Amino acid sequence: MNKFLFFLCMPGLLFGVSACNGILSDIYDTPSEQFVASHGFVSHDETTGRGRISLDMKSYGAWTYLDFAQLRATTLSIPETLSGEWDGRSGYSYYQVTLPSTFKHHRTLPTDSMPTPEKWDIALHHYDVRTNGGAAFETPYTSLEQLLREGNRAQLSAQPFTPDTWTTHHCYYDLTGIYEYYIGYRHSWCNLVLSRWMDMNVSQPPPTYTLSRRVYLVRFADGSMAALHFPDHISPSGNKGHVTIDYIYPY
Amino acid sequence: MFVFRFLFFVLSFSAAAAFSVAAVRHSSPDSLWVESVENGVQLETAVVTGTGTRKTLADTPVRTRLITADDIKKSDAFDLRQLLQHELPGVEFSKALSQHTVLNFSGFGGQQLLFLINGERLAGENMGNVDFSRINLADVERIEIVKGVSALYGSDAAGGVINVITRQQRPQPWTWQIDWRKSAHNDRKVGTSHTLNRRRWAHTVQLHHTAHDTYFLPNPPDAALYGKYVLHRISGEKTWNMNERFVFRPTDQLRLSARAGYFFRQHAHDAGEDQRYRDFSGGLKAEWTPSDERRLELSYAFDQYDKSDFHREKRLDLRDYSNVLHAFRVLYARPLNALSKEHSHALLLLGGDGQRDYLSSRQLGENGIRHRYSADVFAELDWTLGRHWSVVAATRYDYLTDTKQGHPTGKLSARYRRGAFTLRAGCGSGYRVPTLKERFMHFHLRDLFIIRGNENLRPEKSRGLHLSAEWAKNGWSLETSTDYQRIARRITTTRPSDERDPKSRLPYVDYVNVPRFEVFNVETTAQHRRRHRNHIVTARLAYAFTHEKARERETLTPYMPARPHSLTARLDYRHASTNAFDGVLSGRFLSAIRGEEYNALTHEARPFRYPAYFLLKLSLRQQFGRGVQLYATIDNLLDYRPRVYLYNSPPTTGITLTAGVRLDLHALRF
Repeated sequence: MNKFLFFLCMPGLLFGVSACNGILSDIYDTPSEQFVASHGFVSHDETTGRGRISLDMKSYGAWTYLDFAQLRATTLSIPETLSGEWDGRSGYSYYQVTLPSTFKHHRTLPTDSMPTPEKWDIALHHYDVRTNGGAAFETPYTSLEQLLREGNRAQLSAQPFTPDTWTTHHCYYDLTGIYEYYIGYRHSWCNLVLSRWMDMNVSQPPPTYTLSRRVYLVRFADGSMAALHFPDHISPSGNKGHVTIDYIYPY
Repeated sequence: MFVFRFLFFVLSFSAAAAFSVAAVRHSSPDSLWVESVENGVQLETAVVTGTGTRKTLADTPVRTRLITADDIKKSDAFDLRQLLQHELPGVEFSKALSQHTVLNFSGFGGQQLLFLINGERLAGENMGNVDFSRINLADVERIEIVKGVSALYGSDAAGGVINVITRQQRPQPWTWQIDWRKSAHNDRKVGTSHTLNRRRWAHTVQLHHTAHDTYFLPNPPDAALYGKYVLHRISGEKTWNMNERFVFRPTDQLRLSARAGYFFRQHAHDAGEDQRYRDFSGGLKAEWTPSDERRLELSYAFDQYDKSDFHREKRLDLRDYSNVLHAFRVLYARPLNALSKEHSHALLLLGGDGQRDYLSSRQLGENGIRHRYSADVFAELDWTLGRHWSVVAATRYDYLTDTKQGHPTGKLSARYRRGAFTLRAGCGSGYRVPTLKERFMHFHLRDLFIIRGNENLRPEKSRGLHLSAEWAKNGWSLETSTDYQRIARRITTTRPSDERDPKSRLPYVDYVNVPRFEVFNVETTAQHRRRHRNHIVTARLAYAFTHEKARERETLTPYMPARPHSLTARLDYRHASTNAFDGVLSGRFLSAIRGEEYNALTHEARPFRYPAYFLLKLSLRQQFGRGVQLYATIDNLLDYRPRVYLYNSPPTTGITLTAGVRLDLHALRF
């Protein structure tokens, strides 16, 4: 009976604490503001090689280049116009798409080639990932702890690593026409294995997002390796497009 | 505020105490179901929305469409959406971006419609529409629909007012109902309602739960070729709805009431995220009626509607929207002796509202918080001139603090009745100030575009005309009506512009005023009811024609266009007895829409066609004794399946069976 009385009195309690700007805000979680504004390497432990990267990747108009040795993130805008002679492949194309596999080309807009920093290892464009002459492998492990506990480095490094591919209809550039399945794609190098960390499914708009949760190994051009885990694409304040990467470098 | 809080505490504790000591009494010999059969003549039902005072449906000068509790039972509707579509031609619910439900009611979208519960506004909106799931049909006594602006409830709703009126008190000393039903896609509903009714007070508690699973719609691979509004899935959802109400009559003239409610809805968005919607509501009302025609009413309503994203893995529930309304209303009605003579009678109604509207939303950009105050006063003269004529003239003045804009509006309605014929005519003007969202929005819509508010938006102005004729005799009823509404400076969104956000490179979709929007409606209803001993047969056919005229190519229309022709039909057989049986065959037809669809990116236009469809439903209900009802429904009897599921297609995957049981525990005899 006491529970029942409590249940009946709840409305009174709710109303009793009402305020001009609403009640019961405490039932919601409060986002930590610590990482909201961060863009780059957030932490790095020299002893274990473990660290965290937090990137604001909402924009379709830039690539963010990561240099693991220097712990540096550099964001460069993608050229949208052609100022000189065309390199024959840089630009973006619009397709009438019947997902998942039919792309009917509509038009291509050539641009200048994408600039890159002097030294970098991997780069991200929204949820797409590319390497600087490297290659990637998707492990069966779902956390860095599991990789360290169960993974055999020698066996893993002997697995077939996949290099980048030049793509003309993989990296989203313009989804404004998604409801008409008219999609703009950026021409770019892309590592199709590493980019599997996120399945941004636009076949049934609005887009849905599914994370693979897997740990990826990336072999850089100099032969060193990094283990990457992408635990999230949502910022602590709930905004999508905020990518978190936990890593071990060197692995 | 302290007084309100204190009063609410007292009322809540009183309710709890009363519940705990209530003695069980024998139920009334007549179940509600049998009662409703006998009171089938709608014309004698009292309505309030059109004039603010109780008048029978036959007498009111403001044409009112009524859906009674009996209609709700016959419709066997899961929710308000199904009910309105079942009862009214010209009503179509469809899906919008982000799977929100949007309404087109005779050419008007949610922004131009005013949904009320017992005359009070609802907080929150999704794509300009209230959250329809909040309205629980189990407690509804009737729904009154008045087309056109309302001088009493708001001049901003050019499309009309839909006022849901709940039961305040039942005749039985106590009632306890349990309702359960299940349908396809694990669609289920369970609810309980308990009331205690005494001479001086009444107490009601309700708890209802609904849910359905996610299901995918079987589209062909080339679905995109059939239009841009293709629907692929219906996301799973569950709701909880709890309401409590306490009514106290210290004297025969004074009536005090208090209510509180909690609503929760969870919508499965994707593999890692749910969208949650919560509403907290409460209200206090005092009505003093020293005589039949004198009435003073004071009320306060609180309504808070929140939206949050629940990230399953992190177990984080992050609120990104909160709309809080505080609304006060005073209303005074008295006879006007100067105009009342031997055969005429006049009633004056004066009132006013004050409202605080607080909006906190991630959609409002950096700051994210806005609020504003609004106030209005209104006066209405309700003048009955002899046996045949009745006139209602109303005027209203609205003022908003943030825009510092005010505007007068008015409405004039007249009724002429002679014998079985009733003629009605009316005209009115409306005024809608841009909402906080329309003025200040800055929202990244799921990687697609940025919806951008416009502080310089100008208010919409509307003008409307209405004519109707009705004939009712010997169980026959024929009615036809026509409405015309013209909205100047209609507020809507543009198509994605060439201008792009410098950081995200997403294009903007801006709120703008467009010059003119016109809607013309014709609605015709024929009904016949015949009774032979315990056998009652009712047939009803309703047809609606809607014509919208808008410059579509310039706007990103926030709702699907209206179907030009729509029709609802119902054939109802009832065997009225203690073990009553009810069978209803009902159908709904919506005509096709043809037009041209413009692609802002390719700058190409292509023809589109949203196909017509017809759905047929058979509902059977059997009462056992006074306390048990079993019911079964076969929906989509003709097994209609759209070739391609568009936003305005019925989301059916074929014939659907529903079964349920309702127990009136207070009426059970063991």
